[in-house]
Amino acid sequence: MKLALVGSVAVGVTAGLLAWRERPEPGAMPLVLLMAGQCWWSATLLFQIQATTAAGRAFFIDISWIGIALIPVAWLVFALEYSGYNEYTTQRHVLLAAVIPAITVFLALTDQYHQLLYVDTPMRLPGPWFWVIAAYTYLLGVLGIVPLLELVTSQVRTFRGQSLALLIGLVAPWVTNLLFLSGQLPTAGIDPTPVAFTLSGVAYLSALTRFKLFGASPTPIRHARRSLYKQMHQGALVLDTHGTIVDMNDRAAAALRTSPEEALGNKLKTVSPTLNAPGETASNRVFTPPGTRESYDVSESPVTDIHDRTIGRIITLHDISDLFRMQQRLEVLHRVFRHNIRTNIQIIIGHAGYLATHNCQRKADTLKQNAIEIEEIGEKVRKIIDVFEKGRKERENVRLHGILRECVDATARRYPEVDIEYEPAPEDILVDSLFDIVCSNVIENAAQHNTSSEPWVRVSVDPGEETVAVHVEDNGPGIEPHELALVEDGAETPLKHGSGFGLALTAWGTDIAGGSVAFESDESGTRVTLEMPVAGWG
Amino acid sequence: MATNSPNDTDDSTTVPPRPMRDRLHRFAGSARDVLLYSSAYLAFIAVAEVLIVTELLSLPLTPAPAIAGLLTFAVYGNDRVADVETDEQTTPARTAFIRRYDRRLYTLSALAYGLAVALSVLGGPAAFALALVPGAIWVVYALDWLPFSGHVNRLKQIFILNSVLVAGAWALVVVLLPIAFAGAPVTLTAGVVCLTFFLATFVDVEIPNVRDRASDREAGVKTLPVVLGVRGTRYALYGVTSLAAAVLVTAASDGLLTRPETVLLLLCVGYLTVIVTCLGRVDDSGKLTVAAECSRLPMLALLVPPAV
Repeated sequence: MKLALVGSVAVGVTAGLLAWRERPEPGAMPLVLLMAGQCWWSATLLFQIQATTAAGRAFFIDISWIGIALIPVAWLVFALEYSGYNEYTTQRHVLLAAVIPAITVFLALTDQYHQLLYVDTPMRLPGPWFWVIAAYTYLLGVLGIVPLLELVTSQVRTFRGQSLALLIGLVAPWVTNLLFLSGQLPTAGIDPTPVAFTLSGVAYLSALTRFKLFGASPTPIRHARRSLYKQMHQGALVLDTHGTIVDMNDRAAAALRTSPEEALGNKLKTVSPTLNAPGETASNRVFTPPGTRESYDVSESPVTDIHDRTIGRIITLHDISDLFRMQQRLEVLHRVFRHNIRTNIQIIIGHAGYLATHNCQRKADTLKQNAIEIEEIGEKVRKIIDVFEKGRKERENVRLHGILRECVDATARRYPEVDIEYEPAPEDILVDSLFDIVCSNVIENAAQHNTSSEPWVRVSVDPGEETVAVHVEDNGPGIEPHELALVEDGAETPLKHGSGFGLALTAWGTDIAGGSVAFESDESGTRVTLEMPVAGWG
Repeated sequence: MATNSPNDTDDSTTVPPRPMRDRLHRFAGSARDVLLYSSAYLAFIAVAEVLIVTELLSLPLTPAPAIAGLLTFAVYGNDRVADVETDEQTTPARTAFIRRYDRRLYTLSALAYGLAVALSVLGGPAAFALALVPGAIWVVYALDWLPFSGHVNRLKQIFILNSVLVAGAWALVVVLLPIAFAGAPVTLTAGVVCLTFFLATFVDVEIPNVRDRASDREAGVKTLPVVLGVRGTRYALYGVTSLAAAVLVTAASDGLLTRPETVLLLLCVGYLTVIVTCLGRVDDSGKLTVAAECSRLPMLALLVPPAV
């Protein structure tokens, strides 16, 4: 037995020092304390055996509890830290777990006064508290095993090896202690549990060296899964088989216009009737939260247990608002483009036929006008496509004053008959470069379609802290109500006959750049207000 | 016409290859590096010193020398690994060796310490406690969060105290460990031997500080060479060896040591004084350091009778 105890101390100290080097890896420090507890128990048992007097033996039995009491707490904290259950290893939890062991050490050192740990001083028979700490030790042992069992079936071979070695390290002294307590071992009243620590130490050493206990640690797995779930770009809801929301991340809560606190524990059909009722969700459909312009691609997958039984389902919401809106815009653009081109071409064909047999200047002018319109349509579509392309890319910020100055000057040169006034913007305001195209389009349209006998356009700026408003006013004929429907609805509705691209370019470009546009129009003129986010100052 | 290159030599003058000799030479070189750079040679010195103490105090042979050797190897091995960054400037070859084998050296140190503690248990609680002291210091040095660990770390920087602590720990382990194992009482003779070993080890510790004085000054560590200069250090260490000699003469006059024992110990002190004389005068400070650390070894050869 002496040799085994010496072996257990040697292996325990070595394993402890190897674990010591791995700090601050999760589990390293508790493993050091576990080894320290085991070594202390083994050493004091050896001193018990060597003691020549009953008092000396009793003394070493009493102080051995310093190590014995440390073992279950260190084991539990180690198992929890190692397997990633760090939320249960806070200082409060550890102190709580150490209360009974601390009481035990106190009772051991003062046992001669109360005999709660050992009832018969010379014989050292177990007293009532002995069974309390024994049961407590086994309880913490089992609690520590639970998270390790998860890793025994891990897909990673290293983790399987680590957890098996650790379990052997626990079970060996455990079985020895159980055999001793049940009187199966002829050890003349000496608890031989520390002898089994030799095997434990070898197992822990194997875990440390062969299976790289702290070199490849499963600790982050649980947290990573949780983080992934919480931080993923998609919204995710977990429903049980009754359609009750049992978990959801913040993105899902935002999409459903609720909070996890409000939604958890409630039926999905109550929280969001439009998203789902159990059994009715079709995979890969689009969900639009009521009263919003957002769109989510919905997909659903079942959650099964190890017996392949469905125990719930996960609904993921993938935000496709931008994609969906872009698709709608392209459809509108395509439809209007075809419609306008077809209209111009029909006029050209009709007039060309007439001109084949007649010589008519008016018809020729009309034909020419339609050809110019087709060219203009092509130019507008190109600008819109430019806006879409820029919307997908990283854009730079430009000075608002520079944009407006250039647009005003260019328009004044092109339409000299129009009186254009510009109230200069502060020079240091920076805005998204997309507003260059938008402002140019708005100012040019105001001048181009102004049929007043004394046409004028006024451009002014209303700067703010976070946004800046650019007002473009004119005394033209105003915009037809059906033209305004596009921007007033805020949705990409099919354009009616006669719709141009100018408004579409203004509305879509402003939206992509994160701004908004408002139109006030009547027979006396139009006032367009572009609200732009201030990108910076400089 | 063919010409011979300058390296071409006549067969009759070619030195025959001596692979065995080369191999032995290489092996000896590697062994020397391992012993020197891992500080394993200090473990052998510790074993020898415990054997000397065992003989001087007429104690039975116990596992104490082996434990002292293992403890020394463990402590110095760990120390070399821990100080690898700070030692780079003063001992580049050793640092390169430690960097290459740091994990293996740490594992061996841990294993050595485990064995030392395990064997010490056989010597009873006192031996066990003595074996735990280096481990406790090992742990305390590393624990920055302990309220007193900052002070412990700063002890290394306090003038003389660092050397006193190292010399004290060494002398206590070397002298008390065999006593604890033998279950013998701590006598006045043991005290004299302990004091002599303490003073000699103090000199051993200060000798490499002469080499390290530039880096120590830079790091704000106050050692004898930093404060007193090389010449001042020599005089101070002459004082320490003189004190050791005085202690030995006094002990001999009081009958605590036999005449042969006193003569042998005085010889060792004299040898150490010669090494102190070489400080600042001999360039190879590494060899001076090792020579000083071996200053008690001649006693071993004289005390242990040859096998008949």
